[in-house]
Amino acid sequence: MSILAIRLYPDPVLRSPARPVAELGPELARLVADMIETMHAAPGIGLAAPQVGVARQVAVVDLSVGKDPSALHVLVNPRVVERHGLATEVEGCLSLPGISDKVDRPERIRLAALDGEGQPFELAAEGWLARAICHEVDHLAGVLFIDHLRGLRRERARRQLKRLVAEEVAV
Amino acid sequence: MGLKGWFGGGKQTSQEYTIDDLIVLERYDEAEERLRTKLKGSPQDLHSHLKLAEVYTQLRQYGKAVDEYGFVADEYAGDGFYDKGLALLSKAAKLAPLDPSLRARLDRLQREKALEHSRTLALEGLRQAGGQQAGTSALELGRLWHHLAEGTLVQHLPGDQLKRLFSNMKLSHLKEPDQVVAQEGSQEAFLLLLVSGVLEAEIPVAGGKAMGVRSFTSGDIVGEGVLLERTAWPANYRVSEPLTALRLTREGLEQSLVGNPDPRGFLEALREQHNDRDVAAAVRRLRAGG
Repeated sequence: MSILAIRLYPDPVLRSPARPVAELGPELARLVADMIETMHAAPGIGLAAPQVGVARQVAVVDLSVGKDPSALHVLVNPRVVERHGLATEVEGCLSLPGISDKVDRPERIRLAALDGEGQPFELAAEGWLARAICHEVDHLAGVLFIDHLRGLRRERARRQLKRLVAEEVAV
Repeated sequence: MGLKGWFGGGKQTSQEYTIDDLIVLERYDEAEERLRTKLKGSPQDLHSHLKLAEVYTQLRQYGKAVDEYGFVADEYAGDGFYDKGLALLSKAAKLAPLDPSLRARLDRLQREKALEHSRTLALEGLRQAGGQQAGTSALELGRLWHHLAEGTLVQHLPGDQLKRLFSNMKLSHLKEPDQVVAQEGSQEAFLLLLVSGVLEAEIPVAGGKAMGVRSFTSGDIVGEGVLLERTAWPANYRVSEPLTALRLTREGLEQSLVGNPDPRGFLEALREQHNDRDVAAAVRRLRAGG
């Protein structure tokens, strides 16, 4: 296992819609293991494959950040099939370091996906788990949480992104 | 499929970036193109106009940026968001500091903003002036205000004073042509604030005819000398075109002054047009000349 480099905004892979995974095998298993390790090391509660430069529909979510193995979810070709309610919380993203803002997300969702072994499953999630899943599923469509911001919040995020890009160039 | 093949996600095109991304990445030409395309489909998308203004600013096309800011400022002001409009015009003025039209637009918007505050209070006063009893709808009240808004009284009296004044006035509709509302020499104490129509000040001349001295219309005040200075009406005042006016009697004036925080300013606003004095002077001149 190894820790992968997390792609930062404005890496084009973050804006590229990820392709569905057609073939499950050792490569996918290795990618998933690396993503889990990368997520825990960051530390983060979710990571999508485009964030490590892989434009495939794979994401991992773990609200316990490695403390509770049962909290780990591996999502392959995930689809949110139901959305209910609305909740607003502050979100951040490993690909947008230093930027966070309030984002509206469904309060509860139902997700359909494949697990790491390619077995289909459905998951009912609410609260932060629902939020984290929606955030990662967005990544797979090339959508970032800042795209959900409107008005002044969006303008502020844009200014922060400019600074972020400038810092990256400086580095 | 090897893991290596997954990296990179294939060829990227700029179309995958959002407009915000293009601005962040300082790819302003592409952002402009995308924004213009977007605005063709939804020309009233104010956020896109603002972004376009920002893009033009970065491209140093200040004239275009000023146009965009001005457009959005007008839209905001039209919806009653005067502060937003003012902020945008100020931004535009910084880009074109030598453009006098922007200063004029800023002043106009400031006036409209001040007037908007007065309007709410004044409408309450107008409603009490008899609008409601006469079955006057909110739309009709709005029309009354529209006529009065450009007058000096409305420009100079704050909203709470307008409300105080209007609520102690009585709305009158004088539809009969040639009706005389005040006779020369009479000391009947009332003042008229004309809302619409035309009132003619005239004096009788030889042969039973009348000579026009002056015409009054929306926003004009007549009778202020009679009511406030206890002078006599300086001429005959005849309805020339169907007239709508607000009438203030001595009783109404006294009511307006009870508890008034600025009675001096209130009275000064009522008399500042000096129409009675001007008509009296004109009459004297005409008679001296004749």
